[in-house]
Amino acid sequence: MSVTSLQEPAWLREQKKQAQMAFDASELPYWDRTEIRPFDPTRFAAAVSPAYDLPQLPQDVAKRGVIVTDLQTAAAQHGELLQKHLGTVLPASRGRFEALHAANLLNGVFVYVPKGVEVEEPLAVTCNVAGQGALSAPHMILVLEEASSVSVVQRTEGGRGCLLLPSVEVVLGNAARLRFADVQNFAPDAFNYTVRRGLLARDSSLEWVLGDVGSRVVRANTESVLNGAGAESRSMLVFFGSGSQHLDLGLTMSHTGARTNANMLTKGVLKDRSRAVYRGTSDIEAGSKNCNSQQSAKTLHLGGEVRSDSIPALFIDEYELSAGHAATVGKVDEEQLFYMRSRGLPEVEALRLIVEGFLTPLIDQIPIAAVREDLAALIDRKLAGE
Amino acid sequence: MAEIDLRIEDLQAAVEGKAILKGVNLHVRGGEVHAIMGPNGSGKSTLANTLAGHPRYEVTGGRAVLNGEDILSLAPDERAQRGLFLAFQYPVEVPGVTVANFLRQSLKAVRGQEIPFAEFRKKLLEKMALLEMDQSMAARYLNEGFSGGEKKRNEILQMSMLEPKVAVMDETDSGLDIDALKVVSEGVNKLRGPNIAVVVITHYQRILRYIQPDFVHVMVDGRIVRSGGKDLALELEDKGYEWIREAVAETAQTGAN
Repeated sequence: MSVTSLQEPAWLREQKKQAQMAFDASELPYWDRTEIRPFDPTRFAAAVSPAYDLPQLPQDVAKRGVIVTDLQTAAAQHGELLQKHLGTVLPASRGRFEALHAANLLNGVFVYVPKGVEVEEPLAVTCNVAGQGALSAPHMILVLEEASSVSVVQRTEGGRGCLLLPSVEVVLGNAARLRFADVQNFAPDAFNYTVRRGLLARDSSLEWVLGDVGSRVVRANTESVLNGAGAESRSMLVFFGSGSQHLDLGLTMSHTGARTNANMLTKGVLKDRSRAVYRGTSDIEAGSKNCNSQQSAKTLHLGGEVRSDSIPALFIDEYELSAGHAATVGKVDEEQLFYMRSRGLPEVEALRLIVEGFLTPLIDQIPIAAVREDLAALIDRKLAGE
Repeated sequence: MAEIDLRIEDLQAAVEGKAILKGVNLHVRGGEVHAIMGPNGSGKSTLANTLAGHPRYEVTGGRAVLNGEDILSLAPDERAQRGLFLAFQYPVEVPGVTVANFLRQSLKAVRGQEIPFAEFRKKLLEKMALLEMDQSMAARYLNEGFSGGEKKRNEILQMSMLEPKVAVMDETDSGLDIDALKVVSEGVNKLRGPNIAVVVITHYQRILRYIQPDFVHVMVDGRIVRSGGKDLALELEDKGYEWIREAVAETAQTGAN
């Protein structure tokens, strides 16, 4: 049974019913490198609604038709708009967990920017899952009409012992520009299956800024579908694993339009017995002439008990293009630590300097100051052992 | 002015279970420069690393008492905070951490308080000029891509910034050409005075022409077998380490009979 709430309009109730049917009909997918069993939904209590802190829109911004609201309100007040877009980028048919998400959708955030409207100040959203040992499906949908622009920052937390299924759907009109930052700091015992996907029309631009710090196990993919000619996308991913965390993080750039441009930059640090799997995929379809798809992933190992796999992939059906990838793993060894400690630096301080030196070149590129500071502070805390 | 007094008593140490130091005795005070010479494998570098607290060197006996406190049970960073400094034979590369930032954090750690940026910068540029180091070195990653000479200068730069009570220089002369050796030695000589004790570990006599020691000790097989004034270094250069080995063996035999 799908989970419903009283305020839901009929179309949404129907959409969720269909999603539940899709889930029931779906088979368990095959996952490599990440254990799927802990993600069995029958181990968790019925879905709980995520709670949101939403930004107060400045009056002039609200007056120009910009909407930032929770899904319940959106369904009641902007039903037509929401119905037009919800579930179009990430339909339940995409897979078992996408279906599970759609069937258990209880709350989320709807962001809408009308044609030609440019919002200067970044909008900050906090998502908190208060339930324990339950399932929860936070949803974020961002729709930017032609030539509009906005920056949205989401910070997630909570979800103790939960199965979390966060989704982010992005629809960009021609020449629209979105910066979306997602700092994932869910509880250290949460199981997290995240999907983010954006559809880019001609000359639009999508910048993902992803910080993965929380959760016990994460399986995530963030995809830009570069449909329109001249569209461009950049992903910046920073992760920090500690304890026995397992972070399976994917970035995908799907080039279907000509002259599309993509860049994926990843830097991650692993401590204690944590493990990371990085999957960077450039998918270049026939006809997407003169596109460019680049990626680099760098991982820093603190100690010998961590493990990381870097899996860059390039699928090419087109001849005229440029693509490349680079992956490196660095290690902090005993000699470096001893050298630094012999100058008076305690071990934690020495590691902090090394990690800072490693991550700063990427963190400095994050265009939103609040995200830079938030990420740096979270990483500092994890380095010190929380 | 704090008196400086380091007493190493019957120090024994092992690496991977193999005994290297077999009872080292050495007394070093502020204002003094000691040279420790010896053939390869005699335990000179082990002595340096054991004093600094390298985790691979296991202390199996003895003490090293700095101003009344046995430092051998302290962590490497705590030893540095007490005023011990080791100039590494092979300085380690640390990518991503600039020379300036590293020095600023280290200085803060050994002093136990933040140092104002302007003061730090002034001091850093002064010391770099003294060591004929280009200012741009400060912004480079610690030892990464440094030439052998640059690494050694950087060690002396750290030493002069951190102002230790006891500085142990582990084969600082190795890999230096004569010009670099002069510059490095000059840097060390500028630091000499009652507020520092210097232990120069070397295989060759060459560096002792520029850094004149007050005492020279010869190490063989994990022990200091002979101590004297700076003439001992010259004698050693003249006669070679074999001379010492034979002299020691003779003494041992006489003792046994």
